[in-house]
Amino acid sequence: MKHITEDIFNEAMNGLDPALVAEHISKREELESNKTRPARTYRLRRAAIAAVAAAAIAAGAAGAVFIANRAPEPGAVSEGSAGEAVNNSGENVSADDSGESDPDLPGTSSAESGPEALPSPYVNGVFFPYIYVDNLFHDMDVIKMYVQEDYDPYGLYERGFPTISVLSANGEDSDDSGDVFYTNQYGINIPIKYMSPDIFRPREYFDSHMYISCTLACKLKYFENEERYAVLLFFPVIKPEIDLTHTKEEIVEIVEQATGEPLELKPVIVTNPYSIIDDEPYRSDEWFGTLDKEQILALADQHVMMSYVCSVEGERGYLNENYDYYWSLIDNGMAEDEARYYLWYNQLVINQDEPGEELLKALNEWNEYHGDCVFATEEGLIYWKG
Amino acid sequence: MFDIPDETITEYLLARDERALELASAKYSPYIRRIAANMLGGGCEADECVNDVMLALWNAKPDEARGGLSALVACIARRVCANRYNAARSKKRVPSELTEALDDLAFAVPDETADTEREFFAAELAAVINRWLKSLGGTDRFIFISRYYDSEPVSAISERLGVSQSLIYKKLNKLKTKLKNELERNGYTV
Repeated sequence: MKHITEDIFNEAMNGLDPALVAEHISKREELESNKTRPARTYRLRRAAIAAVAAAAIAAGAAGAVFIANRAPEPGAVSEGSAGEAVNNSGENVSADDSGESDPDLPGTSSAESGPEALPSPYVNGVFFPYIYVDNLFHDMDVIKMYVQEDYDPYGLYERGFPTISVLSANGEDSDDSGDVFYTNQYGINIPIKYMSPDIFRPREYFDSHMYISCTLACKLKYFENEERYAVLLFFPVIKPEIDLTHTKEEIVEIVEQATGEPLELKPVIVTNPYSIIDDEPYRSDEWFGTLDKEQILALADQHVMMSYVCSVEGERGYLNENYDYYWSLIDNGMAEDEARYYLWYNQLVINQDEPGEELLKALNEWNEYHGDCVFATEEGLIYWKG
Repeated sequence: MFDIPDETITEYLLARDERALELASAKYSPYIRRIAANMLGGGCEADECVNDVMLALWNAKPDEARGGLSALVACIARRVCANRYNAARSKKRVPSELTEALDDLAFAVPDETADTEREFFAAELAAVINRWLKSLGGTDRFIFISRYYDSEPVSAISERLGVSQSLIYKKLNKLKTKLKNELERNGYTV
């Protein structure tokens, strides 16, 4: 064994490959130039998400439960509140937010060029949402997500669970910090640490029973402080050789190679309505418009997805009640498909005005601890007001 | 002056036109000064470093295949500052970011290995580090090189990336562990 000393290491660093040095310099210049970018994208996205949440809150005030079926035709532009157009990437494109588009942000378009049509999120029938997680969490700062490699207190990543960990804006000292989730194909991020142990089942089980086959790659892009966002790419089956360091183009290439299909990126907004509801900064009326139910549905149709993602307080599980109930159905002999149908279709779709007693109980339990909830499934946006 | 094309400077250099040095100095002296400050501390003689780099640049030949002018300047600057650092360190501890970075890696203090042997050893080690760096993702590589090549303070790296310092520290810790494993796998001890 050869022993490395400080001066040997320092000398070795002098021998760094010039190509790496050149790449490094280029990257640094790119980062420095990014600091001067306008923060339009952030503002637009935040406004769009908040508008959806506000509308859901407003609609739910009457105790409504509704589901928005996904509209198949992307590209439509709906009228939001106060005549603001909302394109199908969930962006508010009102005239006062004019500015340059962000070429690094898929799905963004400049106000001048108008909204762009979005491709279908389905590739060979597989759902490929491209999800942005904006900094809409309770601390009103950027949320950072890492592939589980970075944080795996439960050994879940090693066991094949499609998990991510979430760190708060400052990397620590937050209720969100270190929370672990997996995300099912409906874009619902379930905080694993709050799950009962029987949920920890082999990945194959999820694949075959829950269709939770998505692994995820995580991509972070950094801009100036007000414009940071995380981009998550969820995709099925592929064990990601992707991490947050890959460029968008590299991610696309890897996924395309793995699936043999072209992947068109499509933005889907995921946020935490609970945080929006409960946290003061989000109560500001300036963010909350007056979208009615139809307008919400239009947004849902445009693939704006809202999810539990994470929440802020209490040791009670956020999705536990509902989710445990789901598993209890299966444990009692109900097939997974059947249980899912029972929950989402039979109880909510078919009898949406009269949710099933059990589901009602579960949702009320949720509500008791956490208040209103809004979430999205493949079938659309669901709002529940207890 | 920042947008002076490297190609122009390179052309002048190859033509032995002294305007090359004027332009290179205008474009790269802020970078060289920063590297000098990082490696040699706030009290360093940055002007001398810039001059040394320019002299070395005049005698060098930019090669696009090896990263072009910017990489050449960076490599020269690093080496010039490292030489000054080593000279100063042989006399006393240098209160600089490079010292902090090296301390952070917890390598042993310099030994009395003969120069030739040390250079060979360092070249061998550089090859391992280069391979390892190429296996990293872009951001990890950026963070590592910023810290251990540019000797950038963690605060500067975090600011540049727009993340917290604690995150950078975490990443650096992971990278150090990875590097240590890689070095040990290649027959080195630290």
